[in-house]
Amino acid sequence: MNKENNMDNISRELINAANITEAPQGFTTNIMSKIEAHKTVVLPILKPLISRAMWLLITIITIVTTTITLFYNNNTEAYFKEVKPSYFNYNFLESIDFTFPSIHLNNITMVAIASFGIFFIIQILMFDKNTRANIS
Amino acid sequence: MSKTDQYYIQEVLKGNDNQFEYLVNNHKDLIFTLCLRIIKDQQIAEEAAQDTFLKAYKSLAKFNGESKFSSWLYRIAYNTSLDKIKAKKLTITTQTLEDYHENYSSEVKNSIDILEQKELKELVQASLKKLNEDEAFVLTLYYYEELSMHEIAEIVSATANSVKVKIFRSRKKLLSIIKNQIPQEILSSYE
Repeated sequence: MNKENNMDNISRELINAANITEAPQGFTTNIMSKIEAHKTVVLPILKPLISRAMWLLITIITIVTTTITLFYNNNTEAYFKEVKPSYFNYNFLESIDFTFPSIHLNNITMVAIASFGIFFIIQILMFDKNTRANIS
Repeated sequence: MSKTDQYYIQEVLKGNDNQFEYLVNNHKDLIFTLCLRIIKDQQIAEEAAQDTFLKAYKSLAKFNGESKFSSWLYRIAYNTSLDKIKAKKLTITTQTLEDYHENYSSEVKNSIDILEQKELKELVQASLKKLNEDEAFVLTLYYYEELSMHEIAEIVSATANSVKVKIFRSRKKLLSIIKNQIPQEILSSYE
């Protein structure tokens, strides 16, 4: 026990004699300038691939198309006849079949389309999250 | 946590980043010393010490105040220094504990009494460089910073018991290295 204390005391004396080494000159300044540089990193400005105006146009087209499909499906021919300009060839318009073909999808295809849609949305959300993380 | 550290941490968290300078100035010498005692290379130790403070700055909001701020810094410094050694593929040449005798401590004690303070400082610093990466680190925290074995265990992610064993072996090794470095004429004058 005495030897143990002796070793403990001499070790303390030695370590204290070694003291600590002063940090090199300019140490604090270097750190503070790195912190400053870290703060002033220019964040990339994200620009959407599709502009607001284009989204508006796409939305309008989608709504119009869907509305025509749903509500004017049986009367499409008549509707277009009404708006037909007089200089259009009547026979030409008559020859076009405006009715949309009815699409029959089986369950597997429906599930596949729905899954694709869900994963597409998840991917967009993940992409957005990753982009934000990279910036911060 | 000392009041001063707490005050400056709060200031930095409020967005007053310049206050971090006081925290750096308060701890830089010991952090640099600890990095140097692990890495044994002045330049890389400086890099590690700077990285320590940058990491501390970036994660200051995560510091919950459960431990002392200084202990939190020592832990970052320890891990950063070990990472530097790995990243730079440094080989630390150390000495193994081979020939320790019980009378070494009294021999060293007698010899160092006649050494000049500067000589003794250089002798111990050179001897600390021959210890393993974490041996000089734990000895410094235990004897210079007077941390408990439990506190050191938390810093190096080990058990208090393994820290106790490490301290015991490290000081034996240190005494053995120092004894072998003391000039023979000084040693023989006490025989």
